[in-house]
Amino acid sequence: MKKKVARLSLVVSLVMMGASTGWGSNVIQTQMSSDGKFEASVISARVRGEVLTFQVLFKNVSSARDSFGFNFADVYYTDIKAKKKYYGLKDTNGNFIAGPVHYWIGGGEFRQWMNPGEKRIFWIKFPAPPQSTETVDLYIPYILPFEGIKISR
Amino acid sequence: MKKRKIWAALGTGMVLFLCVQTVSAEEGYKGPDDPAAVKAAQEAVNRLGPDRGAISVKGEILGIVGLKSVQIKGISVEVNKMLTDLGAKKVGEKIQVSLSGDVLFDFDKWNIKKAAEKTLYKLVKAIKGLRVKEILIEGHTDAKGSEEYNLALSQRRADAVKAWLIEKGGLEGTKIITKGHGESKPIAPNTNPDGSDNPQGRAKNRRVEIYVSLLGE
Repeated sequence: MKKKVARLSLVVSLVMMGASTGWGSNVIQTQMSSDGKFEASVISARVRGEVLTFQVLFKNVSSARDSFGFNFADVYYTDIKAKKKYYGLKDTNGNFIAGPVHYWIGGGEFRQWMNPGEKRIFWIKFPAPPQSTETVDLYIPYILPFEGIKISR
Repeated sequence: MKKRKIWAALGTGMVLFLCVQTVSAEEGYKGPDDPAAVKAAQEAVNRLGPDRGAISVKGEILGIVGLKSVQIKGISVEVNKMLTDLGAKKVGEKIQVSLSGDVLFDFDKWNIKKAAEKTLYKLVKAIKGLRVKEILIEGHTDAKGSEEYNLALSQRRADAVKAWLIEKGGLEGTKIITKGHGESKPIAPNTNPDGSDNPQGRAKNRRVEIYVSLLGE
């Protein structure tokens, strides 16, 4: 009986982790890093209230363990229709509302070591574009631009 | 009995979930749906006002605001002097400035030392006098410690210089890229021919190199 409870517990925790990270979500668009070692997939671009949240799944597609990272300050999106550009939102401590954070320099930084095939999720919050905007372009350093990302509201 | 099992499973699952979340988050927000992140984001939007911090794309694309339009052949005397003081060299089409790691950082650290700021301010002044296309910051270490550790340290140091140039120097972050090379590109031997330690050589290898690419006509 204890084994059954343990198994059920594991299933519950894994399901909750999956739900919280969005790993089960559909891929909206995939791009490669400029050196071809990492793949990045936008898995969520969702507006809630006046905030747009992106979730991006990074995968090491090379055959060697390697790190990938960038400063949150360099991530932005553009709304070509309105000819506007937006940077990530910062909290009152001056840190970007994004994660996971590797260390706090310049508002925070994403940096992860990944084994071949390993994946990591990155998320960041921005001011939402106007209601009339349906697609945006997302720019992450060292990754080819994500163009025409459809946002959900 | 069955209900108790389900509740026990749910409870244990929840505890496991919270544990994993806490460990993986370490610092900062636990995820995009963390109520603290949601609240902070809404407050941040409110602080931005009606335009929500939007920047005109046209202005960004047309030029780098605040930089003088100086061609490489026509660098002003003042900028030239600053570049000479910094020991700058022309490498291909780029201007290279190499800064000692010992001047910039304490041992095994990546925070910029106060004493190094004078040099960095000089670098910023010189850069602002140039028509910059891109700035590449490369971090290098000596060969002490593991390769992986040195690679991470060199990347952090390059990133720290970038953060300083943006925050204190006021340079445009999107024009600056960083790369950590660890111990892979030494400019001096880390050991003597007899295998003994070469501290002078290692000191030369601990460095940050800054490459400034300039816009053409």
